[in-house]
Amino acid sequence: MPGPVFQPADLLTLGPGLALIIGAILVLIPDLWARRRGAVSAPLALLFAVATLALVVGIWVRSDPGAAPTAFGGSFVLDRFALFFDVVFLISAILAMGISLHLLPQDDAQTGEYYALILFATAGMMFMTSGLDLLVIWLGLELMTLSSYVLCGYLRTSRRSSEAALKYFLLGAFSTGILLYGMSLIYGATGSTYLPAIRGALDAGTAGGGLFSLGVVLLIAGFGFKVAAVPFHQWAPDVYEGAPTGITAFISTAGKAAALAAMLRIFAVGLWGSQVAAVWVPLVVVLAAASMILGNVTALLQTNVKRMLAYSSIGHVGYILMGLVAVGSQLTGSGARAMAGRGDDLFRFGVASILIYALVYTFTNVGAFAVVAALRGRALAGENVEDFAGLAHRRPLLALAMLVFLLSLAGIPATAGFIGKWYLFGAVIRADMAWLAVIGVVMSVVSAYYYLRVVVAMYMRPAPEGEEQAPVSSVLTATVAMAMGFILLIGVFPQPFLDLASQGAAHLRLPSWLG
Amino acid sequence: MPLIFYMLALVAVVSALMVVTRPNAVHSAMWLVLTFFAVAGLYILQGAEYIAAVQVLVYAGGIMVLFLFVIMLVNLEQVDGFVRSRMRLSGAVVLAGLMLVSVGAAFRLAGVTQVVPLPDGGLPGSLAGPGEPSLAAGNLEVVGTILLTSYLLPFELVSVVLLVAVVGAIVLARREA
Amino acid sequence: MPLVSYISLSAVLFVIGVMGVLLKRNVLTIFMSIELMLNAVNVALAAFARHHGGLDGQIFVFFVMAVAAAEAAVGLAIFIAIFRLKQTTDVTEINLMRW
Repeated sequence: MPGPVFQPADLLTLGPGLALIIGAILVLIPDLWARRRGAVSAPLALLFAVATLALVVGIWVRSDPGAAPTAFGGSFVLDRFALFFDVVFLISAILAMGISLHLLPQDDAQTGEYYALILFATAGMMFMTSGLDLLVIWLGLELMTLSSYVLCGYLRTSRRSSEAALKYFLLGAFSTGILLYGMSLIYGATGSTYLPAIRGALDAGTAGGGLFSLGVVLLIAGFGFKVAAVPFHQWAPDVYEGAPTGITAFISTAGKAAALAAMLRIFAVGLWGSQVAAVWVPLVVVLAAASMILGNVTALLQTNVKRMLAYSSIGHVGYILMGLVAVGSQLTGSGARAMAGRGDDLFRFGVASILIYALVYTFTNVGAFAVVAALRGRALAGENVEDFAGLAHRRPLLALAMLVFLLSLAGIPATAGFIGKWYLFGAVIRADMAWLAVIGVVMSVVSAYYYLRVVVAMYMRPAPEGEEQAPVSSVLTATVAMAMGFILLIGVFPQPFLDLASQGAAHLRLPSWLG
Repeated sequence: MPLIFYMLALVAVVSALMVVTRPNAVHSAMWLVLTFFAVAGLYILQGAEYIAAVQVLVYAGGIMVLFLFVIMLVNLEQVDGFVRSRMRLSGAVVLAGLMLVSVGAAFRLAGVTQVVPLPDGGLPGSLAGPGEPSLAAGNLEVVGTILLTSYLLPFELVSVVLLVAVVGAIVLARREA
Repeated sequence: MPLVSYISLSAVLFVIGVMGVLLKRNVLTIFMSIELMLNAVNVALAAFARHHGGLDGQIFVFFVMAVAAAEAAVGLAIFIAIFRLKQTTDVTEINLMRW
């Protein structure tokens, strides 16, 4: 263990996560005497999230690009890789709170606990991303998932919401068991849960063998559940459909991004070696291809927009996993040959493409769910494709926003989604696995079809007669506007964002603390 | 020693089988308590008195009482049983066989000895790094010390997890206000 | 006892747990099967800890237990919420796993 175990300065390194936890605890308090539940606590939670976002950005600006502060004996690191993901989580949380501030009063369910749990979940994601020890990563994961179970079942009078919570809980706990068994086998084979030490055991050749490989396989399966990759996706559509819309937006973006960040950290720092890569890269290739194909094809059959977005998000996990394949293939076969003598290029490119896609997908998907939330009225659930009929005449701006989100999901140029896909596909092509990119492109075309169905409904079909429109609150308008603005901004001026992603990727394996 | 191990292992496996085969949830829960005790015995056998104690207190004491409460609350007359789906059944059996075979094969491949015993005091850089007291010392004291030094961050994190569980359980289970 | 006996026992317990999750109909017994899986993990961790002569594994077991308790609290609260709405804990009626 490098250096003393704990110094007071470590708390500063813990900064953003700690701020969120303290904020969440404070948010729990005002409901005790507030006249209307959530009246004080909900805006307070939003304030804490925005303040933490400012803190994270500030840390990034002041951080030294050549070093990364670690804390608690090296089991926690606040490098730019973690900071980039922290920004993604916070953006997702803030936008999800925006959706919830609009929806929860309609369900008469506005309380402080809801927002506190979002903050707790976000803090858990930060620990997942910053953890350098399997134990810390897993505890962060538990903090995130336990909060998410409760949030999914938050509308207790709704059958769909309670069933979503039950399904999410049982399959989540099951996958935790699988993940833990994988971790225990890895610990058994290497003698440590500390990622650099695992790496050391791998390099020294004292690890490896069948038990270790089985551990890696179980780890992939466990994370496969968490990111809802095919064939571990069965829980996702029902959960996404049943959960409150704000939570669906949150867990389908930030939740997946956190699991991917943890995977990157574990595989790039701890389990980095050609023997290990030979085990996990083929598995991830299968997961990526299956998710892209099954997710997008099944989405074609859906009439509920929330469910359609759920299946499409399975497809998007497939795209992102391609980035992981590119990263891993630096070590195995094709990529290693293609990149011979070019150092860490492919690695950095792959990681950067995942980072940028996580950011882009967060804005896009949360934005789409925000529009679904805006359509909700007394007579209208706002979740079926028919509910979008004639939206362009009734609410031209809302329809325009939805158009932007859908085009970005489909990956049409001039939107952020195009930039994200361009880099992911570029990464696998560089890794000499063009066939995977071909699947991705074909499936993007398929996805364009079902996204366009919504567009057609909005622009070509007449509005149903006599539908009373629910008013859209200003906070939801701001949410939609912010998501749309960033999508267009990233789509038109991608370079600054790509630079940031590239800096984040460079930090994933800083030699200074890897030793 | 081997005899005690085999007895405890037998109790653990048989009671675990009972947990998943009994048609009555209360019976399953009681068999699960037996499994927990057998596992606690295995911990003592391995010199892990502290986690053996925690196993009895937390699992057999806390979690199972919670289980029984909920069973009494919701479930008394529910019939339990297996899913009636031939596909699921055959799938599960194949999966189970596959996993057992792969664990066996993994051992064969690794030859167990390949799971190398580490130098005294663990790997350099592991959380319980060199200089930490090893198993030989009194278990409770050592575990306590390590929890509050090397493992301070996970320890604090788990307290947040427990706080979330408390908040979450109240949110979900309270009656309508 | 050699490590291999403990790991084999842990594998058997784990598989029993997995079978229970996949095949049982009652959500409560499904959750009990998940607890079996976690116990199998713990047996393996404790055995590895002894094998490596460190305490990392035992500490991990402690954390698994703490989180299992937290999970039980949340999970059972979810069961109660579901039961209030539907008066059943049978997954085939809740349509839990549409594969």
